[in-house]
Amino acid sequence: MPPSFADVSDAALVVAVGRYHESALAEAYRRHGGAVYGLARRLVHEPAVAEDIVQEVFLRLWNEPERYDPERGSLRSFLLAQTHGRSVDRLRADQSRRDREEREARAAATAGYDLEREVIDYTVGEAVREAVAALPEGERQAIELAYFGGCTYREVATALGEPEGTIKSRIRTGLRRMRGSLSEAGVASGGAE
Amino acid sequence: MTDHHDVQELLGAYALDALDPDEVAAVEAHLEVCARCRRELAGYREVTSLLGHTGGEAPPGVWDRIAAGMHPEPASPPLERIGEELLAEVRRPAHRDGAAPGPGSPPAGAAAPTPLRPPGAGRRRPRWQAPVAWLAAAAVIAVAVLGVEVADLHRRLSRDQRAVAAAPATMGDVRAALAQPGHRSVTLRGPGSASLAVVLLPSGVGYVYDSHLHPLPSDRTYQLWGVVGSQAVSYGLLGARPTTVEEFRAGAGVKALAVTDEVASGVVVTHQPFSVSGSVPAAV
Repeated sequence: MPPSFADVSDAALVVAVGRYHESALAEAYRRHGGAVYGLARRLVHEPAVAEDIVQEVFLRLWNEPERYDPERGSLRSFLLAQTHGRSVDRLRADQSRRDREEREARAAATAGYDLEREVIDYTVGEAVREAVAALPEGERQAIELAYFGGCTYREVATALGEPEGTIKSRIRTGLRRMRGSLSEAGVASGGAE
Repeated sequence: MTDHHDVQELLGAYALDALDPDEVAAVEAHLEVCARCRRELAGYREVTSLLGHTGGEAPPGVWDRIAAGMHPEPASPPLERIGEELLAEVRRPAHRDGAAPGPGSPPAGAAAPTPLRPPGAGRRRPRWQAPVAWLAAAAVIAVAVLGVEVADLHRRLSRDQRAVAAAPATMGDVRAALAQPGHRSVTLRGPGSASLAVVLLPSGVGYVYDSHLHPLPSDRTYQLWGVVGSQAVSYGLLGARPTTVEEFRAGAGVKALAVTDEVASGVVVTHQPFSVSGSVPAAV
């Protein structure tokens, strides 16, 4: 009988993936596949493309489990970062400059809407909403255009008519601010940088 | 060259995949050498994973595609797969001596050894040196193993234990083995007067007898190991006070045998010094 991985930590799951336990990858998929798909779908829109990205992300975990370093964050955080990177690559590769400009315009038009709509579970969702709401408008827009719009910070600067340096530091400051709110709310670790 | 301050300025945008490729390369090069920036980035990643986690179920059809794309295991099992090697031996004794698996064999993957990644593909892969070094004093099989692996092995080991217990061997078996042509005798020795006698038959069947191992507390056990090629293979548990004859099955290429003192359930990888050990003479 294959070993059951239902109760083991994510870090132990990845070790088991490193030992070619298929059921460990299946458990990782059960835990995080929904989040990976949700983010990919959010970015690339097309369900078929999002499914391709899910497949790529989990197969990469299977083939290169050593890329996940538990000291650099949780498995979900790692998988979502991979998902985001791949989704953004698709967006940037698939679209002409003109499409990209349209995308930026569309993202700008919906700024402030999507972030507040997101719900993970009630507690976490509330904490994230509050952290977003506490951001100055400029920081919130910059983070959203970059993260959900798939824009580079240079593109964000163009879209918002701001200097690149300003956008770069708004993104960083906004993320730090959110981290502070989220760790105060107890949904993010409070480790000092 | 980008300095620490420049990279720090870019970390937020990096966490959002919002840099141009040349900037990505500079940031990643710096992250390799800067723990402080790695910590800062981990904090941003935590935030983005909360932002990006929209919930929802994993799409069911995609798992089948993932499963179909999983590469099979490499052919050569390295040393870490100790318990599964043993299990394979217990389940398929007829396959020793290089005999091909018959048509009734279990499918690959059921009882087959599950090796680690091939060398170079990862980090946690200490290898044994030559057998001489292996037999050096205080040899330690040092491999980090997490709880899941150990728990997994415990189940396997208890099955192995039962398999051994189901067919109690006697000194009659040992005498018969010692009378067979091609048998190999090994005396495992350790500090003080500790010793253990082993006789190995060409079939791979072996018997442990004439134990002079110090009795252990009831929550401990002696565990027998073999070196086969470059891997360590657990041959089973001998109990806290080995006084009887125990039968085991050895790999065809076993070069050395050793016994360690472990927790009663046995371990997948030992960190203990050898209580006794000895080289196995080459087969004739």
